[in-house]
Parts: sequence; C-alpha cells; structure tokens
Amino acid sequence: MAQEAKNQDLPPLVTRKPVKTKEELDLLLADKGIRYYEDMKTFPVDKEALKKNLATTCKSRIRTWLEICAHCSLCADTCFFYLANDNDPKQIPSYKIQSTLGELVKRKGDVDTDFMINCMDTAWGKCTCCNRCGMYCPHGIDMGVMFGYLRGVCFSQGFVPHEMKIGSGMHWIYNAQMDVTVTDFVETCEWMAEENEDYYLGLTIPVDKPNADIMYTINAREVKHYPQDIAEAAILFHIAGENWTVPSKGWEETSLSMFAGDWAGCKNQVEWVYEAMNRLKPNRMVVTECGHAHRATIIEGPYWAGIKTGQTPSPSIHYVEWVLEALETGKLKLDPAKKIKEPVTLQDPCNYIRNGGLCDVTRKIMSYIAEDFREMSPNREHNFCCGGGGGLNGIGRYREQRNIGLKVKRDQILATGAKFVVSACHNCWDAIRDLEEVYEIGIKWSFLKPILLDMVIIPDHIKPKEEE
Amino acid sequence: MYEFVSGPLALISFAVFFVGIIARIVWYVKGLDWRLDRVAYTEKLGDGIKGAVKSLFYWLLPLNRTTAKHPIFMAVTYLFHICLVAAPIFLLAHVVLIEESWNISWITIPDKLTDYMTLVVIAAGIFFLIRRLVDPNVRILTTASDYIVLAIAIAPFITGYIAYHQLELGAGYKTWLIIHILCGEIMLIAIPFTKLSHFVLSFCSRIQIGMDYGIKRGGAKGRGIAW
Amino acid sequence: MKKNKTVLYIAIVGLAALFILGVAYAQDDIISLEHDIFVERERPAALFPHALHTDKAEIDCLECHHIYKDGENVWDDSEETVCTTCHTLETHDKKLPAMRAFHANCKGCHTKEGKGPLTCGECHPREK
Repeated sequence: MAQEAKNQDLPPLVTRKPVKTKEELDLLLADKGIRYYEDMKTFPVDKEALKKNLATTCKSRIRTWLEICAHCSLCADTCFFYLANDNDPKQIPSYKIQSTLGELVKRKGDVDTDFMINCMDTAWGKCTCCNRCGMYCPHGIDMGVMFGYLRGVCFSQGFVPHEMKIGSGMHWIYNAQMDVTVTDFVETCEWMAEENEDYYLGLTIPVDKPNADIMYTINAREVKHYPQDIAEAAILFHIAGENWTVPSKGWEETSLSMFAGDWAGCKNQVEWVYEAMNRLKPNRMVVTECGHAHRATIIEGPYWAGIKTGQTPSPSIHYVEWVLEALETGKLKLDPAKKIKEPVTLQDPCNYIRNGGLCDVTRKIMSYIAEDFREMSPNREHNFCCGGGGGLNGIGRYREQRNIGLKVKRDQILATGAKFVVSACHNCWDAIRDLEEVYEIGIKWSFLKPILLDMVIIPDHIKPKEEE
Repeated sequence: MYEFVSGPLALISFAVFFVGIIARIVWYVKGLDWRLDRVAYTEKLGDGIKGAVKSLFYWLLPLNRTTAKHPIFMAVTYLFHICLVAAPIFLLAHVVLIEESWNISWITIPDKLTDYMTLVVIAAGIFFLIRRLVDPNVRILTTASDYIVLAIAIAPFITGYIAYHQLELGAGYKTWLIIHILCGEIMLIAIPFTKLSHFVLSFCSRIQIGMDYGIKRGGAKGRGIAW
Repeated sequence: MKKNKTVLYIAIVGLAALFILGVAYAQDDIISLEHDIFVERERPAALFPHALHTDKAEIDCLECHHIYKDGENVWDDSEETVCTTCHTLETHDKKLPAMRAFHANCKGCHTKEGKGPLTCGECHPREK
C-alpha cells in the first residue's frame, strides 16, 4: 500500500505515448525497469482505443491468417524457441500468436492488463520476428509479421519492454538508437580520420559531400562503443578508391522503433535518412554490417515514409553487397596467402538473408576470404535466428529466455566444427558473443571489416612513406 | 423430403457457397493495404505476380521443405485434399444430377475410383482426428471448432459411402441419401463462414505471401522466398 | 455313385426349366433395363416393372414409346421397341443419349406425377 501511494506521486513511467523529451527519458533510464514493470501491473488497458486500433489496422491479411490457421502444428519445429525449450508446445508459433493476437482480435480488444502483459512477454520474449515459421506454413501464414503487428498494438497501449520504450524514445530525441548527437557523430568521424590518416595516406571521412557515389550510414553503437568500425569502413572505402560520404544528419540507419512497434517513430527515423539522400543526392546508399537496420531503412522504411514504390529515394544496398562488388571489380584486392586457413562458418542474418535475399552475396565473399568454409545446417533463407534478434538481445526481462534460445545457434555452430564465425550483423554478432560467454564453446566471431582489412592489399600511393 | 433437399435446398446451398466465397475473396483483396502490409502490391505488380506464381507452384505441388520434413503428414494432407475436392466434383451421380437440373456437365471419373477416394478422405479424417487427440503439439492448438470443421468436412463422405453402397444401417437407403445430401449442403454453406473458407483464402494467403517475398523480402534481389 | 449322378441330372434339368420359365416370364413383363450398349456400367441396370406401368398404372404406351414424324408420335407396336436403337451412348441426330433419355423419361414422369422413385438407388438397387 505504502509503495502504491508513493508511486502515485511519482511521474508515470508507463505511458501510451512514445517518450519524446529528455526528462522522461532520463526518468526511464534511472528507473532501470524496476518501478516500470511494477507500475505496468496496474496500468489500465484503454479498451476503446484498442478496439478502434484493431478495427482500423488489423485488416484482411492478418485476420485471414488468424482465421484459417489449421492448428496443424507444422510450424512447431520451425521455431528455434520451440527447439531450444525441449519441444515445449507453448512455444509453437501458432499457439503463441493464437493465444495473444488471436484472442485479442476475437475479443475485439476487451482484455485486461494481465492479458496485455502476457502479449508483451510473448511478442518480445518468445518471438524475434525472424519470419522463419512463415516459410514453412502451408497456408503461408507469417507469424513473425503478426508478432511485429502485435508489438505495435502493445506499444500503443504502453505494454512494451523497458529497453524498447527507451530505444524508441532515443530515436525521437536523438534520431538515433542511443544518445549520440550529430556533433558526436561528426566528431567521431573526424577523430577516426585523424587517428588513421598517418597509416593510410589521404584518408578522410567526407561529411555531407553532395553527389557522392556512396552515402554510408551506420549504427549508433559504432559511434558510441566501437568507433574502430567507422575507421575500418573508411579505410576500406579509401583503399577501394570510392567517392563516398557520410551525412551529418541522417547517418543512423537502425531502428529500435521497429523493434518497439513505434510506427510513428519508425517513420520519423527513416525520413531523417531519406532527407539526407534527397539533400546529398548520392548515387546509392550503403548501410553498415547490420541486419535490422537494412530491414528497417531499406526494406520496410519506404512504406513507413509513404513511398508507394517501396523503394528508398536513392538505391540502397547492404555493406556485403558493396564488399562483393569491390572484390569482383578488383577495387579491393585480397592477399590470397592471408585467406583464413582454419574452418570458418557464416551466420545468415534473418533480416537481410531470409528477408532480403542476399545469401549468395555473403557466400561469394566467403570464397574470397576462407579456405575451409563450412555451412551451418540449415542455412541461407532457412537459417535459424541467432537467438537475439528483434531487440531481444537488449531486453533484461527476457535475458534467461534469450540464453535458452541461444542453444540452437550454439549447436548449429558446433556441428560445423568451425571455431570461427563470420557475422555481418550487429545483432547476430552480439548474440554469438553472448552465447560464447554463456556456453563457453571456444569460438571467435567477427564482422567482415576487420577480416578484410587484414587481407587487403594496400595500394602503394596510400602506404605511408618510409621514414628516412 | 428428397425433393426438397435435392431441389430448393441444394440451390440455396450452392448460392450461399458461391456468393459467400466470392464475398470472402473480395473482402480479402479489398482489405489488402500496401501501407499497412508494407507491400507495394500494385506498384510492383510484375514482381508480385512472379512471387505469387512461385508460391502457388511450390505448394500446390509437394515441392516444399515442409513436405520433406513431414512426409507422412503432408502426403496424407495432399491426398485428403485432392480426393475431397475431386471425388464429389467428378462423381458420375453428381454430374448427372447437375446436368439434369442445369444442363451443364463435365467429365466424370469411374465410381470405383471415387469409391476409393471416399475411403481415402475418411481414413485421412480419422488420421487427423487421432493426431488431434494424441499429439501434444496439436492438442494445445486444438479448439472445439477444429473438431466441428473436421466433422463437417468428412460427414458427406461417410454418408455418401453409406448411400452409394445402399447399406441399411438402421435407417435404409433413402434416409441415408437424404442425410448425405444434407451433410453436403451443410459443408457448402459452412465454407464461407468457417475455417473451411481456407478453400479460397488459403490461395489468397499464398498469393499474398508470395507477393510479399517477390516484391520486397528478397524479391528485389531476384531470390524471393526459397521454398 | 450312381444315385449321385441321377440327382445331378435332375438338378440340371430343373435349373434349365427354371431358366426357360424365367425368360418366358421376363418377356411378359420386362423387369430391368438391361440394354447391352451400356458396356461399362457404373450402377446396376435400372429396375423397370413394365406391367406395373401398363396394367396397374394404366399409362399409355405412347407416353414412353415414341417415333416422331413431323412433331407427332407415330409409334405403334409394329415399330421398333428397343430404346437404344435410336438413343445411343452419345448424342446423335439431336436425340438424347441413352442415359439422359431414360432419366428424362422415367424421372421426368415420376417427378411430374409425384409417383415412383426419384433417388438413384431406388431404380438402381445394389444386389444384397
């Protein structure tokens, strides 16, 4: 009782609106999710709004999927959560969606707080929206898409994991998934250029250069936690002789808003990037080694921004596509003697393999860099999620479930016999790092950039002059 | 009674069935929203059609990984559906009745074959029923409506078998025949209003997901969905 | 042994007699429409008690038997009586194919008069 009374005097943490001010954000950050989830237990459902939301946004595609599901359970073993949890029937994708969104639609939004918390725990804690189940359903029912939709419904009612609420707020306040400002970004670029210009003559990171061939956009983590990634990208572009630039505004291509189901936030974020395209008019945009960012900015983004063709203002490609192009055209030349000798395997990120069609690209790259490349099984479009997708890596509330889920990827990697995993995706990279931390199977993992940088032949005009 | 169920009631059932399924298709297509679904259905129609054709092809034929992974279940499912649709449509007695009523007719298949097909439908139905009762994965998903729908689907075949072979079974031929016709009409009427609407909506869904993959997810890179 | 043979002969003669009698009786009242154009039957031949229709129901011969000339039924009992002579398996000369002709003739009348069977199995009963 005393606690409740106390909480009532405090500013609310659980709200139905996205966080758009720094004060609200700081409050959430300071809370660490403790009072947040406590408050959520008594946070009321706005049934009228929920009903209206379902009536206007839940249309024939999803309603049909929910209705015609034959309850056949063929999707069960397509889900890594089901497999990792010893074939627990409660982890069957169909069960998960029918018991949440299915009920919600059936009851036309007439549900209580506990129901919505269960929806949240299922939509974020038991599904990474990897869309694998949808490939195996005879009816073509994509439960990943439905969970994405359910996340939006939950977000609009305030039932969203703490870190997702923060992530969405970050995008509203900083136009980035973290508190990285335009100044931070530009300064980091300058710093990285300065750090490396002595080793690679003529190295610059051109900011806001109009009409460049490539506009490069990144993940805020690279600014905040490993700026070396930006330096590596710059060096490789420089070696390849690319005419490239980064936009001061519009550099962030990730979208925690997408993971959070904050559709207005998604629109706001991608429009920031598209404005940069329209302003700088690059021939094309290259996004960094990130999976969900590619999905958000290139695949889904145009729809949020209301672009009817579903295409970004400038043609956009993933970093792996640029790498392959540079290797095939000889812009980047690798020293064959430096090819990785040990067995190496490759993680297929759902967001640009299953949902982006780039599996052949990464495999061709592997043929340039690895002597003993070993496929995981299953692979390509049929690969399992790393276990940390859809924002799951970052949510404390579901850490335990996430770690259980990692077992599937662990066993896939172990079965290849390789101790080295190439992962051109931030989320997969994190999940693989964490699975090593949890299960200690003795593996290494890496983005492509450091591997390429180890092998690339540096042209003479870039090499620093020997000191006399 | 026979005159009523085979006359006006049959006409009503067919009308409800046809109007119903057309309404469901229209409702489905009208409910597609390029922005909400995030698929440029009309702008990228060409890519969409390619994806849709691929999606239908790999699933109308058993050329998908689900069939490879669950060969027995999928074999039973394919056989069940083929027989369930083909047997009543191409059964001589049905075609004769339709020809005499509406003067349209089409090819028929021998009674001996439809007889076996009927048994396949019944056997598959029993297989599905047992699976629902026994397999914990299916059990957790099962609702009362799943049993009802299964009963609606196989009742015309059980009663049809009894009527065709003129088995007495306590009621006699004519009664069983009337029950058979009623069961068929219940199924026709139920199709637009229940899960049986997958008769048409499954095609809609397969086309939609095919377009989705063909237009954006992988389609732009020429792969689309890899079944 | 000898006794057994005698029994056999008696049995054969008896059966033959029954058969002849049966045929003779059948000529008197046709009971089934065993037309040999239906080579591959899906159902047993339809039962047709001729006497029931003629004697009991007093249906005029011309209701069923017909040969049309200038729109008029000119059939009399000196003319062709086998239906399938004109109504062949497939339609020809605008004549209904045999099965449809039978169905139209029998079922049509049963429906119109509200008498007689309509369902498949009542005319085409299976052997029990």
